[in-house]
Amino acid sequence: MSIETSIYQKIKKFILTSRIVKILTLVIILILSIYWAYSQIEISVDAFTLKFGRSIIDGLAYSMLLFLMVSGFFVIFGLCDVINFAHGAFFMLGGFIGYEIYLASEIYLLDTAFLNNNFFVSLLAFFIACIGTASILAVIGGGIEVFTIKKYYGNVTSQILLTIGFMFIIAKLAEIIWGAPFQTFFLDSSSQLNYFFLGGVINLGTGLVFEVYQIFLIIFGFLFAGGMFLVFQKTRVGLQIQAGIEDAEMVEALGINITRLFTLVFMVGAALAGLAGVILVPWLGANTGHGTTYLIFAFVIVVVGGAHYGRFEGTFFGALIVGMSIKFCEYFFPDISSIIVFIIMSVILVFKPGGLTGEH
Amino acid sequence: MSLLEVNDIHVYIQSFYILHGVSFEVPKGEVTVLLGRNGSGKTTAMKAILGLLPPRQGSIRFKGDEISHLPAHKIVQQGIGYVPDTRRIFNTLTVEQNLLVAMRRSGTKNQEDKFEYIFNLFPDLKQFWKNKARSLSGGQQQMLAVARALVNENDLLLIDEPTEGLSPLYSKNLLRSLSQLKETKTILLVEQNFRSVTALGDRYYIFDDGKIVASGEDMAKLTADKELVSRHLGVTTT
Ligand SMILES: Nc1ncnc2c1ncn2[C@@H]1O[C@H](COP(=O)(O)OP(=O)(O)OP(=O)(O)O)[C@@H](O)[C@H]1O
Ligand SMILES: [Mg+2]
Repeated sequence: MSIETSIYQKIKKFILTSRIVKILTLVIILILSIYWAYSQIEISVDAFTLKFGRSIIDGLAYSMLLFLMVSGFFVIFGLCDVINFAHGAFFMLGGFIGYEIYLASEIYLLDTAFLNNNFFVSLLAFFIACIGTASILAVIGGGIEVFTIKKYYGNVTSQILLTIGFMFIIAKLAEIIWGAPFQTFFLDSSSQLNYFFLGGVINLGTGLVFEVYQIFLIIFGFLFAGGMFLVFQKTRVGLQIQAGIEDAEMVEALGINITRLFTLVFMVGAALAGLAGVILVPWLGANTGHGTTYLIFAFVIVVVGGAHYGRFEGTFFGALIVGMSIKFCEYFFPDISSIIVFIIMSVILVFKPGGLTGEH
Repeated sequence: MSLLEVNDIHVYIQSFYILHGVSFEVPKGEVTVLLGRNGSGKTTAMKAILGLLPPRQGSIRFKGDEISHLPAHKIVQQGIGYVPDTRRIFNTLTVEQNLLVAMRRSGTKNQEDKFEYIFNLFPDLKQFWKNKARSLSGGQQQMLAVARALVNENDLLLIDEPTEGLSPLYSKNLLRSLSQLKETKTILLVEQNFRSVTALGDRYYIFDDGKIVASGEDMAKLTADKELVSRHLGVTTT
């Protein structure tokens, strides 16, 4: 082996492993794509900045929603080793259930009139919709685990077939009730209130306008991620789940009922999918086609972030990358916005087969 | 009545017939040692007791009660601590978190005392308390695996090859720690190196091919049979 090849090897190793190189590459790619975006579009600097700012806010808000959705998929995959193909369907169903609960509780609250402030009515109705949907989805998820999936742990093929089966069943049921995917159900067109509680905008002057709901999503997303981190690091059940992701049999051998933990995780995972579904509704509505779309996003995020040993950071950054790039493309390169996630996934799979947090 | 009585258990791993009617007992306050060549069934016997590989036939009594039909977590909750052969500590958790996961609810009352007791036994663990378990050395990981079985008020400890892969110095220290434990606990120990446990053990069972081929309380008497030693303990005595 010649000297050149060993130097080449060293440089290659440095480029592939060094953190500085990674960050620099990211920054350069970002700057180049912004510059390219700018050069493609014949608008003034001010208008560009504005559009760029909006794409960032939109992207952040969307990323947080995706993180909420995928975190349920991720805990189920991590602990129970089940790839839940029905997760997108849970999410879609959550949207519709939340939509119905919201409208019903709005009517009820307006009738009882103990709240004569529309703002609080919509706030409370939305809160009820979130809690209600999460609980219903928890029961559905738990039921599916206890009565079917539980019997097939360790049998990957059966699990995949089962969850795909539930995916189709839920999707079909939803289509029977709410119709085919070409109609999207929006709250503001069905609600009796002329505004939804977070329906307003924040106007920072000079055209800088942000929707309140997106700001809410961003704050909520970061709080949720922080809460998730605390639960996993500080609580008994969080530690049990993390340990179980590594070695479920050993957790059982420490006197912990792992079967019950699996059921619990399924319930929580489904509840999170449902909650994410409700939270999507005021922004993008409920649509029977959402199940498939968001299932694909969940896969991409887990692949991009890396799903090793319950590392939530990976999923969080995966959601950020996917959400930001989708929204960025919607603003600047609408033609590729529907395939950008696959481009990113392929690039990451080529250079880091284990995902961003992966060891390989 | 012994603390643990294993009576004629037959254990399968999937469709493989591994233990062909094994019986032994672990009297309270003693150290019972399982010996035998690689693959003779010692680990399987421990997993059968724990309920991780429930026997298809036979009985296992702990404190006089039949436990062989219970799920593993119920068995363990009755007071059994397990130190598995390949350590199986939780790499992504810190030392502290590894012990917190293992601590059953009843143990949280005097948590500080428990930790103090463990620090006395294994001072290294105190030093690396907030470090991820994967960053520990092999010997320290083994200490953590033992400590994990000590955070609860367990009556019986099942310890599978604790010195495997450790340097002679570490092995000696670890066995010394175990002999300290002997004063308060009952131990079922699997150990390849029978010489290192002659001081520790009170009673020995020798496994071969899923059966017990010899047993006794006196190691000297057992090892007087040169044929047995070379066949089952993997050493040729001169
Ligand atoms: N998953 C498995 N499938 C089939 N056979 C297995 C499996 N695990 C273990 N065995 C077999 O069971 C037998 C007993 O294994 P066991 O691990 O109990 O031996 P051991 O006495 O603990 O050995 P060692 O000293 O190497 O730890 C061995 O013959 C082994 O090949
Ligand atoms: Mg073994």
